[in-house]
Amino acid sequence: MEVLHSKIGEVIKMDSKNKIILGKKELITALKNVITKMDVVAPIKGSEGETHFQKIESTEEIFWEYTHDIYPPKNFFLKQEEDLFRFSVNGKIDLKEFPVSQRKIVIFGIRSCDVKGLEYSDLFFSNTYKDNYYLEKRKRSILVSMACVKPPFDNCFCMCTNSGPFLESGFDLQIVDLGKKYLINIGTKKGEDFLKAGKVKFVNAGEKEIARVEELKKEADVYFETAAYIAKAIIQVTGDKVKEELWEDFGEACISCGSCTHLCPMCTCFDVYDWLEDGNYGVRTRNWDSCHYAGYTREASGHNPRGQSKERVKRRCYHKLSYQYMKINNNLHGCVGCGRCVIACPVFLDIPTIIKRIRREGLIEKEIDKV
Amino acid sequence: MANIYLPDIAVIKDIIQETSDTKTFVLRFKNPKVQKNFRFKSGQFVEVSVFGVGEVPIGISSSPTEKKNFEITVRAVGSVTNALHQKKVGDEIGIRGPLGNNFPIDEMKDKKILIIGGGIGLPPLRSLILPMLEKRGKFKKFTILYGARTPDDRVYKNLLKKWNEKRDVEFLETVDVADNGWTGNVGVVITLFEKIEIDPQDTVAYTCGPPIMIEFVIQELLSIGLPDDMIISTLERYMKCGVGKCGHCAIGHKYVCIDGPVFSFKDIKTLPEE
Ligand SMILES: Cc1cc2nc3c(=O)[nH]c(=O)nc-3n(C[C@H](O)[C@H](O)[C@H](O)COP(=O)(O)OP(=O)(O)OC[C@H]3O[C@@H](n4cnc5c(N)ncnc54)[C@H](O)[C@@H]3O)c2cc1C
Ligand code: SF4
Ligand code: SF4
Ligand code: FES
Repeated sequence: MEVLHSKIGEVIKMDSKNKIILGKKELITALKNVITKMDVVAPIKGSEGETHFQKIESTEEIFWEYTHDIYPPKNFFLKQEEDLFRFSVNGKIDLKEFPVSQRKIVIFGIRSCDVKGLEYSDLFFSNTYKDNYYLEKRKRSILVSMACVKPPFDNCFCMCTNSGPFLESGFDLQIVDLGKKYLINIGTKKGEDFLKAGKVKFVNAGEKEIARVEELKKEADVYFETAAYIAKAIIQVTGDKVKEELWEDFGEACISCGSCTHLCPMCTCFDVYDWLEDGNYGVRTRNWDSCHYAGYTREASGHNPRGQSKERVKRRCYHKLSYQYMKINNNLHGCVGCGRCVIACPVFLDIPTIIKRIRREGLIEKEIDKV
Repeated sequence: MANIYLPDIAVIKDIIQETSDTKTFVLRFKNPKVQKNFRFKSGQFVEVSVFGVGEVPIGISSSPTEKKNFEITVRAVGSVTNALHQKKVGDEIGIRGPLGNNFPIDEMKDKKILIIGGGIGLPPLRSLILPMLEKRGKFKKFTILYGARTPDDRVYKNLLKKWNEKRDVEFLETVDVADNGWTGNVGVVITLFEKIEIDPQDTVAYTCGPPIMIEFVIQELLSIGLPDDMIISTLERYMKCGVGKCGHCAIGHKYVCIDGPVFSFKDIKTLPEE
């Protein structure tokens, strides 16, 4: 994990020296100072009382009782739609890249699962070929995460996927709400940059406060759903030991709407297309795509290796639940337990449900004795 | 940071009409430095841009030893490939690459070589055959089998004639449907297998073609007794980025664009059937 984050931001060893105490007012003062120098994205309250992460101009906009944004923060790095470059179409071809902003982006209050989701995506986008569009934005971002003392969503299951509610790494700063004040873990040099820009005084955390965090972690354990049994599902999916009937069942249920993949913080698939501004100029753009769409793998000849819905559900499950993917991604799970697909899927084909059904109904008869 | 999605500009130096729907484009990068640094290996592909229409993966069909230009052979089947066919000599297109892995060559020294191509699967194999024939002495028996739909659908007609005339190359071809002038074999490419001798102990087979052909060829080679790692095939998948990011070409945790397009049957067997 250290290897990766040294790329995105220099990691600081976690020890008691990097745990500080900040008053609640001081954090707001820090944010006020930071806003003058950096773009700050923070939770705001939507018209229905829901949470959105958005760029804010003033700390007054922050929704402190925020829950979880249905949209994952990947949108700040892998935009739903992103222009890659501009080209001329007539005569000699001229390609122009778009100017890159230098401004730092703070994602304030990002949840633990989403931090892990970005950690996974960081690995993916920096392996073999480095995705400049994603990594450039990630490099100038600072993740100030908020540990979850209580689950912000009914559907959170990060405990099963080892991605929360408290984190050991991945964040630049992690805030733990101690009631009257905050304990802050400084994870990276970028986290220090935030504190410097915030221009506030802080003290190192004492033993009592550190002990209180440990208590909160234990309390949090009680609240979180731990019954998704992801390990068992991973064994079965990796070994192709799930009954074909169950895949068929899933395939019949899925309406291929793609919501589960669009809202998943770990899903990064995109499509690329050209469009013309006028007769002379055009832009190459990428936008989110989904392995659940039938056309995703359809070749010009008409041949489609995943023409059937069940094959596409299998594909998504393989990405989320195979040991092979974990192996190439620092043992991180392909699902961070954010629970978004639980809300999104109109036919209840969310990952926790799939995990449960694989465990209960998915075993191939002859394999039952072995597992 | 280098932009992995930004193509370089290449100029079309020549166009050869291969069949009614297939053309070979001879290309050279506009920037001589880029051309000089463009080193590829047999079996690799490039992403070809027709700006305003899109980008498609196409295998490089020329020999890696040819440094001045490089070639692609393209069948017009959809929007980008048809737009490419509209281009004329002197026009500019975008190229990203070389991408993907390559056919193993040096590892196969002193082996008997069997190459099986179908239709538009011959172009990537041409980038393998040409350098191999330059070092013909390094290999034992050299057999090329080629199958096309009709006599007109045969690409590289002049080259095929040359291969046919070569005494140190065994070359057989067939068409699915003959026309009046055709006196050669008729039938799918695996019908050629009974006309040749294959030594399963000492042969490496390379194949590229439509998925259905590849499937039959692999079955046939296995039944003859070729070991899994001596059957080398390409896999074709819908591709967008060519650099392992867009996800389209994934099979299990492998990405055909970076882990392939060349796989041995030994590798193919381990790919999960999701
Ligand atoms: C590694 C590799 C090497 C190839 N080499 C050659 C070659 O040497 N000569 C040749 O004629 N063809 C080759 N192809 C097939 C060629 O890429 C497709 O025919 C082409 O993408 C069709 O695009 P289109 O825009 O004309 O068709 P459309 O149907 O309009 O396709 C739209 C888009 O779908 C994607 N797409 C559709 N079919 C395919 C496909 N079969 N493979 C990948 N992407 C696809 C492309 O991104 C394309 O932009 C190769 C494919 C791969 C994967
Ligand atoms: S699979 Fe569902 S629960 Fe898991 S990370 Fe994706 S959206 Fe969240
Ligand atoms: S949200 Fe549900 S119905 Fe829609 S594609 Fe995903 S699994 Fe299928
Ligand atoms: S073509 Fe985009 S991942 Fe392979």
